[in-house]
Amino acid sequence: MNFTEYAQIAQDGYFTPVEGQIQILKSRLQEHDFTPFEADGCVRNVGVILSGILPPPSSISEAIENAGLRVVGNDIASLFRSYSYTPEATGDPGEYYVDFYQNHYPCTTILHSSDRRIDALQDLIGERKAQGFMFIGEKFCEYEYFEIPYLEKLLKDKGVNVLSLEFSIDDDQNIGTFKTRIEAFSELMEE
Amino acid sequence: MSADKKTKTGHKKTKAGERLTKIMTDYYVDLHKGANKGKFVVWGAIIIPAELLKGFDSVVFAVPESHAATRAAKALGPMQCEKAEQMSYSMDLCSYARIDIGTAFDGGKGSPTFGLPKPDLLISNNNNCSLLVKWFDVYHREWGTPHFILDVPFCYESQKKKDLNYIIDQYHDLIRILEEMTGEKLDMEKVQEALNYTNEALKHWKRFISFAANRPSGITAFDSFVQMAPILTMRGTPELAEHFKFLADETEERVEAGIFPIPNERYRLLWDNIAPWHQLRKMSSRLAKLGANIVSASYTYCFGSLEGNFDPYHYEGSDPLWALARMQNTTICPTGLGLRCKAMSEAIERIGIDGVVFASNRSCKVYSLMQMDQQKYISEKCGIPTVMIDVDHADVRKYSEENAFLRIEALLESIGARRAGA
Repeated sequence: MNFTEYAQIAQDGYFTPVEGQIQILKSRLQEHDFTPFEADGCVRNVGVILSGILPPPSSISEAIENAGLRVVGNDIASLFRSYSYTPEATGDPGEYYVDFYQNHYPCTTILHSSDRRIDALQDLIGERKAQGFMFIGEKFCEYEYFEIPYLEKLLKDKGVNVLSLEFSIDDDQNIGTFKTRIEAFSELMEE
Repeated sequence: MSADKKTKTGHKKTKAGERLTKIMTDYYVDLHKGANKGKFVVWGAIIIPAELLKGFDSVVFAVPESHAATRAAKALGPMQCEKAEQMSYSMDLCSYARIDIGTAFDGGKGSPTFGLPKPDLLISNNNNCSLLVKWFDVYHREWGTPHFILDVPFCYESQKKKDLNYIIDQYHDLIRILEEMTGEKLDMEKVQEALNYTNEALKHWKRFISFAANRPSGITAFDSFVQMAPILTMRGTPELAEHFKFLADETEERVEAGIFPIPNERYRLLWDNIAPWHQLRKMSSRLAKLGANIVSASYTYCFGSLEGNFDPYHYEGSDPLWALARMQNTTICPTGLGLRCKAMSEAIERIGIDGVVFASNRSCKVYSLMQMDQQKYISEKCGIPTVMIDVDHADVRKYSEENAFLRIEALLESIGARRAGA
């Protein structure tokens, strides 16, 4: 499964009751052949981590994967950061959510976890052996933008390539410029 | 005012205006002097309990938001924003934040107040702007300055007791931290005294903004925007109470003498969002030529007022920590749509508003996100025309005067058409 498909399934879940989500996930797991995904474009194996609040529009995800980049992990607030820690069900919703927020994966929007975020992200990049970090942001005054300059400098100093893209989240049409930037970013990194 | 009194225009700087310049200059001089003498510097968000800090003789208080607004009003916004953008801070971030970050990391260069003295402690909260926490985190990361985050529950109805107690518990943590860091014990009597000064100041602020109800209005919202500076920086001081008394008295005298900012006032408007700092003179002059006056603004009545109310909160001498926790639930940002609409409807009725200008501000998500719904509600409930314009409060590069006025003029025409049809 590629990231584009994966993100689509996750996003479908945003608007589906939990029973429906379980159904979708079960059927996708049954269909899945577990062979590693290979992009339609140049076949390279350059791992990148995607970051942001929401997954990028599918045209951007496709552009990333067709540029020969493999999404080896995500640091997206509505994806990995939200499901990275799941409390055990105890039957008490209050208890569940206290546990959920207390032990939440460090996230820009979970204010008490701010100090742990940078370390957690570096660990993720290291674990997944990612060579690049791509931030996909919506054009608005957003939490993430206060961290990006610091993060960018820190990661570049550690030899991780960084690309920041900002656009309107609904704009799935005008991606020409972004495509060129993604391809150039991919070319920067050696397999 | 009696109808036979002759009205005169009052565009000249008032004595209160001159007085404001002096007290703000004194404030910044004292701030820097205090820091140079080794006082403990706190940078705080505008709604943190500034009166609590008055319980420590060794603490001086600086307000980055107010400092940024002052820079923007002096047309220095873009220059300081660009410095932050050159450091990779996105142009979509709040322009106050960009001005402040640009100024702070350039050692205060380009600021008439030489920036702010470097902080020993940062205190932010998530009830006037949750993004502000991340803005202060920038300094926490870069300088290693400790950062205290006050968590205030968002509300859709009157503040709940458990929420109030939750805030008070955090005040106890803050007091402990301040005592540890300054080596000084909090003097609660001084906090009480500070609250009394704030209370007195708010009483006169209410008198001042109530002159908007006069016909023609005794003030413009632009006057009140400018006069907000000390309420953000000097709460809990006798200087603030004295200044607002002077301001309200002077305005009263001018109204009595028939001196009005827009004597030929034909359209009485209300502004919703942060002040357009870079347009104060330009916008007010252009509106004046059209016989329009923005007489009031949600931004100026939000301070000191409680959820869903137009009037400021009145402190009755109860437990200072209780009162300070109660005051965290101000009218605009930490409250839901219903409460925002309630406060605005009350203002519209009491002041006699003909139309509302909703200033959608991509630089201030917290203020702007509900505006579409609020606009719909106000148009339907109050039966007055409204308009939405695009503004950035401190970055003139993201504002188009002609586009804004095209819409404002359409609003005035709509008000005129209604009157003609009435």
